[in-house]
Amino acid sequence: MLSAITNRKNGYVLTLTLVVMVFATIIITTMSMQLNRTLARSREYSKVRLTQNVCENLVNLSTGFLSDRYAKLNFNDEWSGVNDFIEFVSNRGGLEGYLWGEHLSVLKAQSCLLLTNNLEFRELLNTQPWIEGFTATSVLYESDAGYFLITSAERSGITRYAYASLAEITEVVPVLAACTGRTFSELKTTHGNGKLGKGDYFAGPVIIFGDAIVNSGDPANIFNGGLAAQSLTLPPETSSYDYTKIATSVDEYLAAEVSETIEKISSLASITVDMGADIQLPSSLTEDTLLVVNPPSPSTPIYVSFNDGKEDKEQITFKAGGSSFSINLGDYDGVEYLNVLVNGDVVFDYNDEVSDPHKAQKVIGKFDITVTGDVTVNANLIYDDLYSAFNNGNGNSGVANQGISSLKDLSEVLSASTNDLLSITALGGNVSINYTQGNGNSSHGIKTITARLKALPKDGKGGKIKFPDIDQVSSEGLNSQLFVVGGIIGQSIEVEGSGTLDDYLDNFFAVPDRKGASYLKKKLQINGLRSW
Amino acid sequence: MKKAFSLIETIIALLVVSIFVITSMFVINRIKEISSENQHAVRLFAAKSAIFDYYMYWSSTDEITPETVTEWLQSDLGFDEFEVENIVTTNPGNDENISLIKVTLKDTLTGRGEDFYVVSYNKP
Repeated sequence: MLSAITNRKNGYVLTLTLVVMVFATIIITTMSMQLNRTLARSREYSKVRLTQNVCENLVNLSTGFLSDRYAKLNFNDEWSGVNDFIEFVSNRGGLEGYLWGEHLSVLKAQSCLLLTNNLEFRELLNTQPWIEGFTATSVLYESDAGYFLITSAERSGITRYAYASLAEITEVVPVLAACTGRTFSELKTTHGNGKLGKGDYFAGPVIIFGDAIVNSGDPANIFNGGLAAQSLTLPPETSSYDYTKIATSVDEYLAAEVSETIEKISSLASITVDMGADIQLPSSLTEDTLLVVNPPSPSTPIYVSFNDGKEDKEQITFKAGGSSFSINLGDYDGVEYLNVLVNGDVVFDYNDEVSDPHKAQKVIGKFDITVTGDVTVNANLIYDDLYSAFNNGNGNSGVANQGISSLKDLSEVLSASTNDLLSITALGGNVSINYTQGNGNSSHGIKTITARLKALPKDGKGGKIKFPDIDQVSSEGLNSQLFVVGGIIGQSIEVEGSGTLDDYLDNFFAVPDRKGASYLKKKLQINGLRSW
Repeated sequence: MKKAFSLIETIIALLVVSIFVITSMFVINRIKEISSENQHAVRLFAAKSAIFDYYMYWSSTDEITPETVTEWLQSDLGFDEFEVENIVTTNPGNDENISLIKVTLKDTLTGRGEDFYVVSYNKP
């Protein structure tokens, strides 16, 4: 080797060595630089993603905070960061950034709700461990399509944003939820003339706590809004039907309804009216107030009626022991619906002397009535928009003299929309639905109730939906019908006396009162979330 | 007679080359080590992000347990080296609409645990 070295040309090995070393140095330096760059990028990405997570957490926190409050918020704040946000979003992602920029260009600094300026929200935010070290902003905008929530978080010069589209969702109100001995059958026309025979039709969700028995027809044509039941018995001609099998007992289900009802009435500010000689009407009512009506004596029922028929007023009238008073919602500013608590029994009838289940009362307005005793429904309660479907105008009499006699009639009622809303809850009481007149037994056999009717058991009392006199109905050749727009919820539905509902009720129709929104219970839903 | 390197010069040259090679080996090993650590950190971060999204887009947090999330992480996503050690859920401000979830993610390779928080809006 040494002789080889001595024979080499001067400096050849040194040059080669230096070249290799320089080349190796360049490679190692490049690797190091690349690694450093990767590390820096990873750290930066971690910081960015962490900031985005904070923004997303802030969206969920804000939505949860707003969920029970948003109906009462004012959009009068100003957010100076809106242009920075739009510019930030517009400059990212090529066409996507451009489209986002176009979409968000309607946002202005004014007319928003700066949630992070809200003291209550700030207190909530300050308890959050994940927000530590960040400067956070949460802004809510209102639009025709719903709400836009924008959140931002900044730390160490890194600012990131999240954008969420929020919308109201409707509480799923079943049109029927009870233990019922009813044997359901598909609605059929008879004699090819479009007239209805026996059968049932439910356009909304139905919950049967027990065995749902279908006697004939296709359950899909009976339970058009779906069925949830503990078990299902199908007719021989039907091999299968997809339903939701539930394990929840009726008591568990109703206990949640009871808690919700108590929670709601407890959260409202009470204004009390004592029925008697000297009735003092409330000077103001809002959606946050609860009109508490006390009867003259615990054993005296309060008769409740709605529009007096003279003009289309959003009116409710209370009568008991010779005294009465009416509330016209139009007389009060800022009240869209009226919350009422009656401490006693209630009869829905226009007359406190002679009951008249023929009478068809127009319900105009939105009323949420909770009763601590029993509820008796004598009169038909019909929303204004549906009134003509049950009253044929003959003799100018305000009675329900027109039933659902054809599929065409049914389709008309199903397609009708209404702005009115009535909720009747017997808390610790039963609900009795009467068909016959108190001074006779004449009846068209038609009972229409446009309301969310609930019989909720409390302290071991109440919870039943009862039909005291349906076995005495003289139907004049017409089928006995029960048509509900809203829903019926109770422990059980039963006939008082002998027989079952199947013996006396030919048609049981129930349809939801709302297709889109609910005025009594609104919640927010996050439709979409995007963070940058 | 041709000029040539002396033995001393050759030894010095070899020594310099050796030092360079040893240094290079050390640097390369260090690069590999840092690269491996970074890859691990990225996987940890990816696992955290996956859990974050899991909660963020899950409608109910009631049925989520450390075991179910660990199973999901390892079987479905291939994060075999991580397991969820603990999940604590609270309702900030006693608001039932909001859940604050504290997740402790454990790295089984290093034995280290890391806490992070997810806020979930309890959809009605």
